[in-house]
Amino acid sequence: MQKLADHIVSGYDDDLNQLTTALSELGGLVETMTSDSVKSIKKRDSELAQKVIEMDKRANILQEQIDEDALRLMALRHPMATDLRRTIGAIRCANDLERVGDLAEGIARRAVSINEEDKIDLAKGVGRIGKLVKSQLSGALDALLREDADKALQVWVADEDVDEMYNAIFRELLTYMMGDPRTITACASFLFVAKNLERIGDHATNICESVYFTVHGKQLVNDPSIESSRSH
Amino acid sequence: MPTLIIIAIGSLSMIFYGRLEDKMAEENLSGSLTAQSEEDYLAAQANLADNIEDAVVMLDQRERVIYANPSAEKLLKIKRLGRPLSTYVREPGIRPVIQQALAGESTEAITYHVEDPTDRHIRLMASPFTLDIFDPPRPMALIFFYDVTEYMLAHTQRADFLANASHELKTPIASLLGYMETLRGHAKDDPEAQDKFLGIMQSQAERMQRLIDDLLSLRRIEQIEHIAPNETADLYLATKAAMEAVEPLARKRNVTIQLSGPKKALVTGHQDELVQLILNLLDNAVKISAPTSKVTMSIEEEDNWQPGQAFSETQFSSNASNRRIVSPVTPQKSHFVLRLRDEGPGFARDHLPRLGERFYRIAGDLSSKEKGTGLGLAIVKHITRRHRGGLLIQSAPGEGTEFTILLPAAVSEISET
Repeated sequence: MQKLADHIVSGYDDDLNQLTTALSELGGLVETMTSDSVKSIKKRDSELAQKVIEMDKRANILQEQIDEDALRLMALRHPMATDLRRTIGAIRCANDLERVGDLAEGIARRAVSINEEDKIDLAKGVGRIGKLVKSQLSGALDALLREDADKALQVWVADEDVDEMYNAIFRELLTYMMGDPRTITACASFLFVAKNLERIGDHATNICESVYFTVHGKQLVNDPSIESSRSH
Repeated sequence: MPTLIIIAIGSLSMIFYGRLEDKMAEENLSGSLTAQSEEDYLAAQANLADNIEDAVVMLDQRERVIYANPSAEKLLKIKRLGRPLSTYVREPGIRPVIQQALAGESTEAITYHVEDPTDRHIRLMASPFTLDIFDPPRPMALIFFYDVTEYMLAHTQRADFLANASHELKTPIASLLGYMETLRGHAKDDPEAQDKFLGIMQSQAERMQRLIDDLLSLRRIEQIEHIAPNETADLYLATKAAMEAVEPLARKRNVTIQLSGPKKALVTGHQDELVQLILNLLDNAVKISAPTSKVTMSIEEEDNWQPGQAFSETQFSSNASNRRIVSPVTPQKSHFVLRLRDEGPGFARDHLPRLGERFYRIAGDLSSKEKGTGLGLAIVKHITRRHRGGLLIQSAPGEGTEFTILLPAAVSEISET
């Protein structure tokens, strides 16, 4: 590794860096929203849930900003090859991240209503899938910001585990509902929360696909050697 | 800790400023430096900071990392300089602090949390740093990172440990007390009942002992989990040792254990922990195996392990379900792969996502008859995580279970990536 970075920055580099910084900020924000929304259920903290709902506005603003920046970059600098894919990737990932923000906001809104009900001990399963999804999202963001296609592939493949865990929680909640109809309201809310988390996992894999495309210039899903490794 | 930080920053800036004055005196500079001497100058300072054990990063006005010492490269996994710090650290609270520092204001330390590869808590301090030798002066920021995981964990884990221990020990203690009461009351003059109750009491006390042992080893591993082992261990010897330890049990249950593969498998790891890892899995496999069945183990070297490779060489029917309990941190590197296959009852699909969870036991399962503590697989999981390895499971009801453990192969020359 060189000892010190070059001091001279071109405006072009600066624009690309700004795009990375904005993506990182949006990523960090929705990461926090995801973990805080789950925490607000686990700790029955409606105040924290309100904060998450507030944060979504910032996420929307950041997404718009990334869109604008990317558009301006394309119009003024005419990026080519990797830079072009990077710019398109930024737009796509910002879109995914914004959706993650919406889903986390949805969880937080559910949390407020769940916390008004009497406490039932179902939050454990949600906590588990929340932890897994959070690590998937963090992995996808690491891959995105470092442009690490290997990491992206690793996260993409592990989405299977999220789906498997979602199915397990689905069955678990169903058992509770059949056992005691009084828990139906709460269980239904938990089902939505688990579904939202599973969707966040899907967006994380979308980001991984974008990263793979940015780095390699080909679509991950069309790579037959990789597709066969996924069992569904 | 905060005093240390301040002293460290103080001394570092003194080094920087001290050197600056020397250089100015030497070259009799009055205003600006040429581009060449600026490079030289910064490189000289960088050499000094290279030897600081804590992670230090220097940022320019555009928040780009223009210098990172080796500790910082390792901590933040920096591969190329010149990218913004936000590439490596995403915590939302950090950017304002850095902007403050770049604006020349003093800032407060901030602690953030990362989960990959293991849980870590890192305390960050930013201090403004102006190279006023340039015209115009160039404000920069020095960022210090301290790993405070141990301090944070010491608190949370102590609480967790007490909660777990007291909850799990409640049941055997209640039963002990119950039997004691009976022994002093109704069963006072009944030697037959006394003998029976004392037997139950002993097995309860043994269970408590196993629980405490397991809780202690789990806690010990959790405490050092954020530090990857740097010694070399032999996976083959560890497997052999584990096989010898379960040999009496296997003979009693008439279960055959087979091992194939090279007689030497050097991995980066801790020998005793590896023995414990394999022992926990093997012991469990033997316990759930029906008499006359087999437990098959194999060790293979995989030069370039790909994430997509998991479960690709399956010997199970399509009913099997898979799970990556721990994903390997460094795929695409040379790994040793240990496979452990039993012909036991296998796990139903819905149990798989919860395996490795503390105290998770499958109700009505054979292993509960064999008095498991519900911590064995949790210990396996944490040992694998500490080794930056991988732990995969594939299982089908009626067919058995296969655990796959991936461990990074030991490298002959020390090369950190």
